[in-house]
Amino acid sequence: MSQVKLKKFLLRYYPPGIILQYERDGVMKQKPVDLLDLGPGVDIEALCSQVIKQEPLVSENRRPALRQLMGRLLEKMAETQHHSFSLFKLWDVETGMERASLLGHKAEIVSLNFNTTGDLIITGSFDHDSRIWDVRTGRCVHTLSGHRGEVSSTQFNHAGKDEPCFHGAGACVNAPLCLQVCTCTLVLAPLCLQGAHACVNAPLCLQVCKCTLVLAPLCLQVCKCTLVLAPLCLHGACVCVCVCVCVCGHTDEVLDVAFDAAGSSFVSASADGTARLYNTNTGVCAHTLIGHEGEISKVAYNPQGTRVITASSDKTSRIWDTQTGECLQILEGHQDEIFSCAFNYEGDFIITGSKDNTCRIWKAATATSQLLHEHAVASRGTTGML
Amino acid sequence: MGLLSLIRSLKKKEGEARILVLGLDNAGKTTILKCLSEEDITTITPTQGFNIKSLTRDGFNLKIWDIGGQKSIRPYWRNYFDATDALVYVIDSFDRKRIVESGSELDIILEEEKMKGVPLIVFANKQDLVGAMSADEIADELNLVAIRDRPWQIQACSAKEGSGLTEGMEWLMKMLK
Repeated sequence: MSQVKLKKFLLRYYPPGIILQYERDGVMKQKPVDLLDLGPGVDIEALCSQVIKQEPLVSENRRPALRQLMGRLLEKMAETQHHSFSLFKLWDVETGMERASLLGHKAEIVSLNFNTTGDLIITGSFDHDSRIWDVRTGRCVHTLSGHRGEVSSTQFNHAGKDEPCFHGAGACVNAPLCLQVCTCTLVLAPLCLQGAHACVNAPLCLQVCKCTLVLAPLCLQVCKCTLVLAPLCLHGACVCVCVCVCVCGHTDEVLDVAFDAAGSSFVSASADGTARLYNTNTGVCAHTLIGHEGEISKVAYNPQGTRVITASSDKTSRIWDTQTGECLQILEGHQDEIFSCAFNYEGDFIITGSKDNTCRIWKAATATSQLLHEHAVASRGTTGML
Repeated sequence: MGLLSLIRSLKKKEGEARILVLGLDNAGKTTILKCLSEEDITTITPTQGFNIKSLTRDGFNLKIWDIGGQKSIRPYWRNYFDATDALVYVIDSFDRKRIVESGSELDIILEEEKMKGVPLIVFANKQDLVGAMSADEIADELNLVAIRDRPWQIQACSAKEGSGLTEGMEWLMKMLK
């Protein structure tokens, strides 16, 4: 007579069922039990009895375990099938209520930003697209496609004012190991870009200038649209083909980009451990910020545009002078790599978020002072990673 | 490793592919799976739920998901569509009665958003049986020529005799690279 002993219940969600793991003569085996009839309204007790009756492995004293497993299967079935990353929600800051769900992306959204007036949002997604959304209606105003890889970072520039012109930047992987950051210029109203004869059909029509990117294998480029060649009308929106001026620099993937408040310069951060400051109009690299011993995953300007902060996998953040490109201070203290960093609105506080599950708030004496003192270490649970 | 690469690594490991094996019941999905992993195929029973096999081929780590094809479990197929790199659709070439049913199940899969652009290989299985439909006949029946949104291939095979499977897998590997 062989020895049979039930060892474990395993749960199988799709199709709903329980897998019995048992030992026969010292060998582990599995037997699936289908529970296809399980659904809301089904008598769980009756179903338990049925399983106990049919399966010699399952005895009456296993009933509570069975009941629990079926409960979990029912819970899973009640979950909506559409738990994709393709939506993100818009929350009202004052009421804390959900205002809208913005649907459209087909993969994880990894980047999101408001414009300065707060009426538009730009998102970047793993589905290779960027989208611009109207905050008020929750509708997608425009889809910026063209990238051949994940869009890891998107930014509006903050030029603002009455100028109905903004920039969106996205990073794109075009060839294996080649990542490019391009800045696309979007024109919101009949307005010419550097002498271009833009044909806009209706006011508030979005004009998308597509970048033609110059590709060089293993070369990382920051591209900027400078010239609009010929406007083509397409589906009522004008698509212009631009010539890019490519400024090579980084030797590895570009992971983040940021404009300064005026929109006149931008900074890129790369896995090669450097950040670079560029003039938006000329595309000339003003400074290369060298010092980090690991990749830089995040960069940010202070509101005054005088400082840049970088967050790196070498567990430090660094503050840089945008005029001279010098490293003013190294913020040390995190136990693990730093993923995120930001200035507050006044530019006198810095917050960093790390894989070590902590955020740290750093105080700057004044936005222009050269020394920053670590003020407080706020370990607040699991705020770190994503 | 930074945040971006972290997210990326969560998504997909380099050199790893997820292959979904679907088809009506009794088409021979599990037999093909066992044949590919060189296991005994004499005692195969209808698949309850699913089987997973991990194979290494040309340095690729293939995770093959074989989901049961009985009518009652077909609605659950869609739960396995996420992040699929290639679809293997198995057809019982001897079962003329159900070729239309098989075709319409395939159409439903191909229309799914998550399966957009996923390469498809159709295995016309059970070629060892006399009177089995040929690969061409099946391609006609399923109107495979109309598929334009993805690379596809039909391969005659016999999982029982182990013929045709290598050719099909070779094509699949070419698609994954």
